[in-house]
Amino acid sequence: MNNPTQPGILCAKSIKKSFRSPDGGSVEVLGGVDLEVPSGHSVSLVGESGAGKTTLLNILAGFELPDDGSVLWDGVRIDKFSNSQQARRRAGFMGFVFQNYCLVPELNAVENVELAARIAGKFGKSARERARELLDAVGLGGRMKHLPSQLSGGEKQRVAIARAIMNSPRIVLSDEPTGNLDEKTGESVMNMFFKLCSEREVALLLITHNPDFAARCDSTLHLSAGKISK
Amino acid sequence: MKWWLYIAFKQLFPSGKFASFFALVSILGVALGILGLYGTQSVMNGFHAQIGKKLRDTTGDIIIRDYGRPMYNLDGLRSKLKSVDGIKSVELMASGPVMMLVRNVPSFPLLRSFDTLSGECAIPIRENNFVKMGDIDMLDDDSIIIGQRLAANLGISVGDKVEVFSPTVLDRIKKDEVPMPVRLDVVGFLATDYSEADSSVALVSLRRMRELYNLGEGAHSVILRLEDGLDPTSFADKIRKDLKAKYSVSTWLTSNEGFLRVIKMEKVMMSLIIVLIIIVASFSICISLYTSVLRKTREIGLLGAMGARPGQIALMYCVQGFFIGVAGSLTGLALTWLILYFREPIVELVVGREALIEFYHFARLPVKYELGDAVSACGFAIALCTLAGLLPALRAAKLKISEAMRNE
Ligand SMILES: Nc1ncnc2c1ncn2[C@@H]1O[C@H](COP(=O)(O)OP(=O)(O)O)[C@@H](O)[C@H]1O
Ligand SMILES: [Mg+2]
Repeated sequence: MNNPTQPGILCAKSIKKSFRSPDGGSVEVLGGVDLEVPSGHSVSLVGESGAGKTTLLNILAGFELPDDGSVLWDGVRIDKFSNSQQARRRAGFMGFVFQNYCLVPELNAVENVELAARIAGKFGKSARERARELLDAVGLGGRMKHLPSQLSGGEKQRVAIARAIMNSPRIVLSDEPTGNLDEKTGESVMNMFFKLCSEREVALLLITHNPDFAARCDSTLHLSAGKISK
Repeated sequence: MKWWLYIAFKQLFPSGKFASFFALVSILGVALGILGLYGTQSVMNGFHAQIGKKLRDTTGDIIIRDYGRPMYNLDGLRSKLKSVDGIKSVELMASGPVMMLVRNVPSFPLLRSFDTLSGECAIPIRENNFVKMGDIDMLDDDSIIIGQRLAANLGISVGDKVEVFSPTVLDRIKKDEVPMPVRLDVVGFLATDYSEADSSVALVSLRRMRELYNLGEGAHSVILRLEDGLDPTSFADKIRKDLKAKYSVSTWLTSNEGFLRVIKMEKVMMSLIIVLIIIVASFSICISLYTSVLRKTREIGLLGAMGARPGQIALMYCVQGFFIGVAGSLTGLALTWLILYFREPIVELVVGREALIEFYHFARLPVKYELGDAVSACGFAIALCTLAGLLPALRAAKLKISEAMRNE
């Protein structure tokens, strides 16, 4: 499935990252990681807790700088961008779904989904319509006006997924999206998530502890001892 | 609408709710501060205007003196001043302390002359009905009109007789003469509603006063009343120039300068104390917003992930402070106007009408709104609230997305 002539939508080349530990020493978390997510594909990233999965995601998203190596979004090195350029590009290029739903508590479901478009500077009637359509697609057609406090965990994660898809990103990065959900809810949320991504041809990088979810991705990467293995 | 403005607004007024508790309480806090500040200032302005009017009405607009010496040969000056446009009346006035005996009880009122022959007077005795229980026209060389509080203190009624000794009795005593008092009939009470005057001043005819003070045809001062609306200060400057320093020229403003300055200081001091309310309100706004930043760390991180720039995130919080400042100020102004509009029933309820009349001689709590007070109070509140938003804003803008998302 991996077409070598077509470069990945998201690439990382020999990423290295160490953290200074509180006692003054230095701990290497990533020791030269290469990674490629092809356009429209889903890739799962698994590894023990503390293996550096979240750190890698932060670097891929541009939240954190690697000590060494480079990240490419759609073939362009992101260290070429200024911070605000990067922020602006990210808004249209990447979506995020985290373990914590991070919904704005004062906004209702539609408004939370819309917010992605507002921040990207695109807002209007069509955005509102798209937000409604997405909420329908994630099965929350009847919860448009609910505030986050009036939604269950699974429902909140569905809103977060709709929000991640709102700006039609090329890729969604997701860090343990079912971490806070019970097994059954997690299952149904992931079913919907996978379906939405493949229908809309959005690539997915999924960090998960669940082997079933990992197996349902087009490919799986193992992160251990700071290196990636297939 | 910019998204940061949108979220700022939604945080203050969340969907499906009238307003957040924080917004309501903060706006109310600022409004109370404005009410305290602007309300006090307006009432103080009212008092000052009233007191100013009373000072002017009991002093006269412009006072010309010969540096404390008696003045003689005033006919030329009088007719010259009378021909000046804008001068309503020119009064030759004599005044000074005397000892007054009533049923052998001494008191020391300040006697002021009234020119019964010409009727020329620089204070509005007739216009403002300053004489009660009698009439200014009943004053002659053998009668006296006594300040009503003084009269009340001494138990004097109209028709009583009082004995008056002037300081010139000292000369007679030195010459071994027997000092004889002047016996005067009380024909009315002076009621200016300015307690200082009403408790210490008595009126006699100019001729009687000249005799008491051995003035001949002289006077102690020439007092001018101007047409309403003229500025006494610039008028006094003009007259001073014309008189070439022969006499000293002062106005009711300069001759009451100390008192007026105390009044002004009083307003400044009160304002400084009450400003603390606004400062405290802004502190609590700062703390609330700061707590909100800490509580929403992950959400702020996600805004960043979605492409929000630090400056915009900072604006999101500054705008909240600014908005609370504006809404609080407007509410405060409205509250002030509302409460001061209904001040009469409120004052009556709290202190009683009697107290107001007794202590201040105002039948009605005086109020004077000044645009400058409103603008400076609101400007101060808005600036302070915006500043209160700045600290949380900087904190929010400094959040790193990766650290924010790791926040527990
Ligand atoms: N800001 C940081 N400072 C120091 N150490 C860090 C920091 N962030 C992460 N680490 C360390 O990096 C390692 C990997 O963390 P993380 O990427 O969160 O792992 P995972 O997501 O795979 O569980 C951990 O040992 C963690 O202690
Ligand atoms: Mg992690």
